[in-house]
Amino acid sequence: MKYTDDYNAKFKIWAQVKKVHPLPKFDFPFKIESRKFSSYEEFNRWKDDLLLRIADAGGLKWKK
Amino acid sequence: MEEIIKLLNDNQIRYLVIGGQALRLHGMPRFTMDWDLFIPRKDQKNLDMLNKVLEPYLDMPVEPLGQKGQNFVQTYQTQFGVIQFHLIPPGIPDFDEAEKTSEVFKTESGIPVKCISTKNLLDSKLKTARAKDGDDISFLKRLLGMK
Repeated sequence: MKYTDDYNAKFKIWAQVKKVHPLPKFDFPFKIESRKFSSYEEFNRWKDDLLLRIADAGGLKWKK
Repeated sequence: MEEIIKLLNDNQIRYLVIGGQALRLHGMPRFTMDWDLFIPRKDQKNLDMLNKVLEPYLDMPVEPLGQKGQNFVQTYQTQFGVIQFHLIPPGIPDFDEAEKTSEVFKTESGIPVKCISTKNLLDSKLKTARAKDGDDISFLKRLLGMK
């Protein structure tokens, strides 16, 4: 096994280094409507559906 | 999204970053599509200021918690990205308590961000107990010296 495959080793290094890694820049493939939820169950269902919709639309649009 | 965070800081709005962005600010190289903000559910003055400051970016106001749990989580797409306001995040104490142990981190470009404590972040991940949170939990336990 390569050292880089060992996630415990990765967690150890990340916890020691504590560097904030920049997020890649991206756009959503469609507008996400504002929503208000009454529970986490409802929110998580919406989020799972959102991920499927993003995948169906070809994924996030990466930007330089 | 740093523009929004800076506005919140400059206007002394009470918020705490939770979720994936909090993990990232703790040092975990992790992708997330949105920013999750914990805000006090009973502080109307804070809510009024939040809505005033973010009015140009939100298409409807952030509302207080309803009697039947309405507005528990409120999600918005802004020009800077998706932002979610949480009024009662699972596994995290009341906002006033969480604020006492909060920590300030800096983004990659140096903007200060108020986050819930590492311990509270771990508790929230343990409470939600989603399969996808396993790596987050392992990392946070390592940070807290529990592994």
